[in-house]
Formats: sequence, structure tokens, C-alpha cells
Amino acid sequence: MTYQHALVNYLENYRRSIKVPIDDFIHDITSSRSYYRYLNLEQNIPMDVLLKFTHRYQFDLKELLDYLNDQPNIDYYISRIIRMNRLHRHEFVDVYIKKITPYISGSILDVLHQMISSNNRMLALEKILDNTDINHLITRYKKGKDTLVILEYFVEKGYTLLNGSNQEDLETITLFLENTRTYSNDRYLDYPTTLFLAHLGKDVTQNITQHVALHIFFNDDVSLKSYVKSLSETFKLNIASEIESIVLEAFK
Amino acid sequence: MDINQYVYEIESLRIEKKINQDVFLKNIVSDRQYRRYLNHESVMTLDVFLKLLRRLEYDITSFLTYIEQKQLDKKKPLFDIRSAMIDFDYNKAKTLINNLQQTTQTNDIDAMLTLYLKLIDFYEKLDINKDSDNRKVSTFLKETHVLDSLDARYFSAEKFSSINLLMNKIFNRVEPLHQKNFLDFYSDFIEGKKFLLDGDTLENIQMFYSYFCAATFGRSYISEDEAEKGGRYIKDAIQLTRESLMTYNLMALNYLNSSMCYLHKLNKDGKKSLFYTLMSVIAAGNYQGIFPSFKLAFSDVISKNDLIQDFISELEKHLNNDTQYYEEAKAYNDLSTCAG
Repeated sequence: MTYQHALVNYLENYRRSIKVPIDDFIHDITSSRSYYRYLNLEQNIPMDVLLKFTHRYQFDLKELLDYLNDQPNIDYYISRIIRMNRLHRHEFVDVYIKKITPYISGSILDVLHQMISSNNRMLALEKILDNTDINHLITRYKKGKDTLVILEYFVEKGYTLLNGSNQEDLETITLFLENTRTYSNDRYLDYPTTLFLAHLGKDVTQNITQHVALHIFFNDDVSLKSYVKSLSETFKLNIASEIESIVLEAFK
Repeated sequence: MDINQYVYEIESLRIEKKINQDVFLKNIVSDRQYRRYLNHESVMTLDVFLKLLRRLEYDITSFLTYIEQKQLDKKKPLFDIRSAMIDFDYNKAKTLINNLQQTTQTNDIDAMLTLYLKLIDFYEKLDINKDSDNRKVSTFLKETHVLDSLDARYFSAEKFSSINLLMNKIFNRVEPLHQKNFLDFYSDFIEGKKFLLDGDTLENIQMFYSYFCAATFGRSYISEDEAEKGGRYIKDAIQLTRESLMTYNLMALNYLNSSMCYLHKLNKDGKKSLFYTLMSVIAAGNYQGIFPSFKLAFSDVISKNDLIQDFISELEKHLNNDTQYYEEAKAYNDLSTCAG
């Protein structure tokens, strides 16, 4: 089925579902003659007509075309596979891999399976993204390409730099994540970003409590007890008392 | 964005990638026709559009994401307004709306800003006279047509967010019949009778559950069946947060569970859920802005001192034992014997 074919089917199914006659449905968008030509696949729908439909009936063009394409968003699922592998939520990893298997190449599938068996996410990300120069990836992100996988790469890379000497790369990555998370609904990004900021010596007195709170929900492996103990020792902070004061202050 | 801007972006990307125009257009469209697109004398077809994108090594998703990235700065004021509304900071919201209205906006955004101003105005005029407040609620519902808008089958994320914002602000003030309208609205999404056309599918499912549970337990009377269904959905929804990792839903769901448990003397679960609610508020970042509404909400079911004591004792438990959130959440009572 072509895009055009799927698109007219979609429009017609939608029109029938809302029980609107054709004339009303296309009013001020296109002529009925043209609409029938689209339905009969005699003429391609011009983009401005398509945009008028999406605007009037509040379809999101990207979602609509993704739907018509009948293909899952590969960037999204690969990024989720990486993230859920990091969080050891393996049941989701299996589901996501199954979902994208028909749509990805054998080599990418091999990379994902190798990642699962070796637990080496960096290697997998390097193979998937090919060029992993940090500045190149930032430019690529701004162009809207592989955005979610790039974010996961930066998170993963950041973790590898925590105990190393390359503070410059960690700084670039952290600055990028810090800026990105401001505009994002994805609160998971706060979790590694705060840790990176803390390792760079930035003042995270307020953010560290947020980080610890996120840990409860995002990390099933390390208990709050162990994590608070190790963070308190590393950063010389009394995190438990910080959390207590926040609640006391809020409810006094 | 209209098609002319898409054409413009395609041409900009071609130049940026230094692709010769003849090579770029070969076997897709003539040079003359392409110029007509650029001069707005003709409109590109979907087929040509997709082929040119492919030649630029873009698919439709990455191209539109690229456009969205470029437009992000323009969207920030709307994001700020919504945050101020959610945080009950109406003065800030009014200032931001006024600033935005000084510049030219699309009709949709204008309509949304007007709706927000009406909502703020409605709140500012409320007093403690129940009869007159009820009249104001029904006037507000009539003016905004919000109940009619629930009938559609397909919703954009923008529209859905506006409805949620309204629901959150007015739910406790509308009649039980209209509360049921909102309840059915969310239930329809869970049951696949209504659809959201954009946004992250996983996050969307999570939202439907959260809003359904909030609407269920926000009612002054619920039947035993409704309480059981709501309790079950809370547990399902909490398990879904393992996948979606959304802090706003974590706090909403845990608050609902906690308040219901305290209300029905299931104090052990109430205490656990209270701890997770407050920790998810801290996890969301802006806890100073969010805590006041939880302080007010919890005051209906637990005293301030008991709340602080319960929180501290749970914190100590977590610092002394290896507890795991999702295991505890899985064991919550489903409130099946606790009709309101």
C-alpha cells in the first residue's frame, strides 16, 4: 500500500467515524471533484491540502504519517532498549526488540543482542551511531536525527567519564543534557545530569535530593539505603537530613 | 507551519549539504517545477516531498523533529504558561499570556490563551458562597464549551492537555453528572474508544490511567465497584510508570492511593504511599511550587503532625532496610472493600 493509498483510506475512515458528509468534510479545503480524484488515486494529494486536513481535524502530521507508514519509531525503541537495559528492566527490552525486529537490519539486531549478552551499551551505541564525536552528535541532534539514541549515548558516555580525567568532554555532555532536560518532559534526564553536575563540582545541594528521589523510582537494583550511603560519603553531604528538612519546611 | 516553509527548509538543507540541485532533483521533479514550488506558484505533492526528504537522508519523522527542534524556542512561552497554571501561579500566567498576546499568534494559540484567561478570571471571581459559585461554574462551562469538546473521538495532544488542565481546575466544582462526563472521557481512552493522535504512546496511556483515577477518587461519592476499579487501575498504572518513568504520574497516583488508604484506615499502605508521593514531588524538581497543593490535599485525610511523623518513620525504614518501590506498590490494598 502506498502512502497516498493509506492516506485517503485514513481520511475516509475518519470521515465515516465522525459521520460527516463529504461536502462538509472537505469544505474550504478542496473541491469534491479533486477529493474523488484523490480517493480514486488519480491524483496525488498536494501537501497544502493534507496540511489543511491535519489542521482542521487536529491530526498531528508526524504521527499521522508514522501511522500510515505502519512502522514503529525505531529511534524511540532503540533508545528505550538502551535505557531499560541500563535500568535492568529486562522484560521491556524483550518486548521492544520484538516490536522492531521486522523493521531493522540484521546487523542492528545483532548489535542489540550482543549488548544484552555482554551488557556493553557503549559498544552498541558506537556501532549504531557510527560517528560518536561529541560535537558531531550535538549537530546531528539539532538536525533532528537519532535524537533519542544520541541522548542515551550522552548519558552512557557521561557515566564512563565520571572517574576519568577527561573533564572537558564530561562538561560538554553535561551542559548539553542540562540544556535539553529544561525543555523535555523526560524527567529521567535529571537523574544522570545531576550526578554529572555533582562530579564536575557544581553546586547541586538542591538537585541532589531530587536525584536521590528519582533513584527510588528509576533504579530497582540499588536500594535507597546503599545509594544514600555511597552518595553521602562521596559528596560529604547529609542527604537524609536534607530530605527531612524539605518536608518539614513544606508542611510546617 | 505551512507547506511553503517545508519547501524552504528542504532547500536550506540541500544547500547546507552542498548537494547540486540537478543531482538533488534527478528523477523526482523537474528543475522548473521545483522553482515553482520555491516561488509558491505550485504546491508540492506528498510523493515529491517524501522523495526529496529521502534524498536528504531524512524520513518524515526525523524531518519534522528537526523542524520541531527549530521551533522549540517559540514554544517555550506556552510551556511556561501551562506550568504557571498548573502551579496555581495565576499572576505569572497572566503576565506571560499578556506578553504573548502582544505578538502575532495562530488562531489556535489565540483561542487557547483566551481559554486560559477565562479560567483565571473564573478562579479570581470565586468566593465561598456556594450558590453563586455554582452559577459561575455553569456559566464557565457554557462559555468554554468544554463538555462538548469531550465528545470527539480523536484529540491532538494540545487539545487533550487543555482539557486536562480545565478538568483539574474545575472537577470538584462541577455537578456529579458532569464529573461522570470527565470520568467516561478518560475511560474511553483506556478502553480504545478515543484516541490521541500525537505524543508518546506510552506516556499517553499513563496519562489516561492517572486522570481516570484522579477523576474517580475526586468524586464526593463513589460506589464499591468504582472504588475497586479505581484501586485496580492505580496499581496497574503504577506498574506502567516502570516503563514511562514519569514523575508527575508517580506523584498523582501515589497521592491518590495514599489519601484513599488513609481515608479508609489502611494506614500501613497510606504511610508507604505518602512517602512515595512526597519523594516523587521532590523528584519532579519544582517541589516548592508543588508542595502547597499537596499540603492542602493531604489535610483532608491526615493531620500535619501525623503526616510528618509518618514520612520520617518511612524515610528511616528506607535508610535502614533494602526496600524496593515497585515491590511495595504491587502489594498495595486495592480498596475493594472501601466504598466512599
